[in-house]
Amino acid sequence: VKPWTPARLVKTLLASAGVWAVLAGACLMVGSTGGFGWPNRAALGFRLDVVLLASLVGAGLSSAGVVFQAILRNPLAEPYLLGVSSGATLSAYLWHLPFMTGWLTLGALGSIGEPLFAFGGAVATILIVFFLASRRGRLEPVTLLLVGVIVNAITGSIFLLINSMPWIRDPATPGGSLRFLVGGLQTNLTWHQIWPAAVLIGVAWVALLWFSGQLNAALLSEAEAESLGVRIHRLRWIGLVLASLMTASAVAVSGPIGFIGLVCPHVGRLLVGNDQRRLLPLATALGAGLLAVADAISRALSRPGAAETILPVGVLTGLLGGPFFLMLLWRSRHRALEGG
Amino acid sequence: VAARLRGRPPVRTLIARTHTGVDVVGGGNFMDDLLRLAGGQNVIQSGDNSYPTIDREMLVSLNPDVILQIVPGAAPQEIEQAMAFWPTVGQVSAVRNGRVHVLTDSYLLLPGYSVGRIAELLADKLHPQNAEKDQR
Repeated sequence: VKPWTPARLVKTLLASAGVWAVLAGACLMVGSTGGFGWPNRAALGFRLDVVLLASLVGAGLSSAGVVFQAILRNPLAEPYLLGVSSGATLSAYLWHLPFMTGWLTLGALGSIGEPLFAFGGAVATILIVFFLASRRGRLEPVTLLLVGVIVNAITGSIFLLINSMPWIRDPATPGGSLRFLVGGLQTNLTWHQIWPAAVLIGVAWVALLWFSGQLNAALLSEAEAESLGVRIHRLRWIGLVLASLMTASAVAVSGPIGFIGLVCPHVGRLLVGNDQRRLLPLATALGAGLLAVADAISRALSRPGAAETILPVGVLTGLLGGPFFLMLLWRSRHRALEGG
Repeated sequence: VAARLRGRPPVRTLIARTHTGVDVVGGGNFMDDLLRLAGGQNVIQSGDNSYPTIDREMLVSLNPDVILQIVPGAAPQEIEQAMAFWPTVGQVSAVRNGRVHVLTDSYLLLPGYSVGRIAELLADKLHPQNAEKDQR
C-alpha cells in the first residue's frame, strides 16, 4: 500500500468526480420524451432531479458495498445483507395503513412521512441485528451475516403476513409499499423529501473516507490488524454503522435496488486495486454514475413503441448485475480450481 | 351518461391510480372505456390493458386538462402526500387550473357492478357544468 498524501487524495477525488460527471452528464441527454439531446429548461430541471437522486442512491449503495465487503471480508457481501431493505419495506408499508393516521403521520412528519418511516424501519432492523450479533461489544462477521439473514427473513415474512390480511388493508387498494419490494427511484419525491437522506449519506461518506486507510487493515486477520495498531472491533462497529445508515437512507427514497452495492466495488477494484482509500471514491462515483445510466435506459425505454412504461430501475440493475455476479462467482471458482 | 354528454368535446384527462401521481391508467382497459363514456379522452394512448408508470417530464408534455387521482381507501396521510406532489408540476394545465381531483371511493378501480356509478362520478368531475344543470 502506497503512502497517502493530500495530493493523492485530491487526485483520486477529482478523477472519481470526473467519472461520475461524464456518466451523469450523458444521462441528462436522455428523457422519456423526444430523442437524445439537450432538453428544454423545464425538462432539464426534471432530468437533473432524477439524475441527482439516482446518483445519491447509487453512491450510497456502492460505498456501503465497499465497506461491507471489506469488514465482512466477503467479496459477495452487499448492503442489504443485514435486513435493511426488508425493515424499510415493512415500516413504509405500516405508514400506509389507515390505523396509522394520527399526529405523527399527518401533523409531525407531513409529506416526508413515508421515507422517514422507511428509514426508521431500516435503522430499527440494524439495531436488532447488531444487538443480537454482538458479544461483549464485539461484532463477529460470520455471526453478523447469519443474524442478518434470519432477521431479514423474519421481517419479510411479517410484511407478507400483514399484506395478506384483508381486514388490515383493503386488497383492492393498489400500489402502496409493494413497490418497495423491487427498488425504483421514486420520481414523485421532491428535494424537500430527499434532503435528509442526502445529508446523512454525505456525512457518513466523509466519515468513511476518513477511516478508509484503516479499512485496508480490515482485510487482514484480526491479529495482523491489531499488530498494525488498528482497533479492529471498533473499526467494525464504525464501518458497519455508517454503511448501514447510508443504506437505510438510500432505501428510504428508492427501495432496495439490487447489485449496485455488489457490482460497483468489484468494478472499482478491477480499475484501481484493493486500496480502500482509492477504491471508496471510485466505487462511489461508479455507483452514482451507473445507477444514473440504468435509470436513463429505463426512461429511454418508456417511449412509445418500446416498453411504454418506466421500468423500476431495480429490474435493470438486476438484469445487468445478475450476469456480472455470476461471472464473478465463475471466475473465483475457476481461480480456486487453478490454485488447487 | 353518454347521452347526457353528447355533443360535448372530450376533456383530455390523466387517471393516476396510486398516491404517487406517476402510476397511471393506460389504454385498453375498463377505466379507459369508462373515461371515454364519461366525456373524457385518456392522454395515455398506449397499450392494451396497460397501467404504465410515467415521470414528471412526460406528465408535463402530456399536459392533461383534468387529473383524476384514484386512491381507493387511502389513509389521510397518503392523500396528503399525493397532494404534495402536484405543485411540483405546476406547468400542467390541470394543476394550474385547480382541476386535480382525488377520489377515494373503494369501488373505483373494480370492474364490477359499480361501473355505472364510476362513469357518473367521472362525468361529474370532467363536466361540472352538466352536473350542476342536472342538480337544478
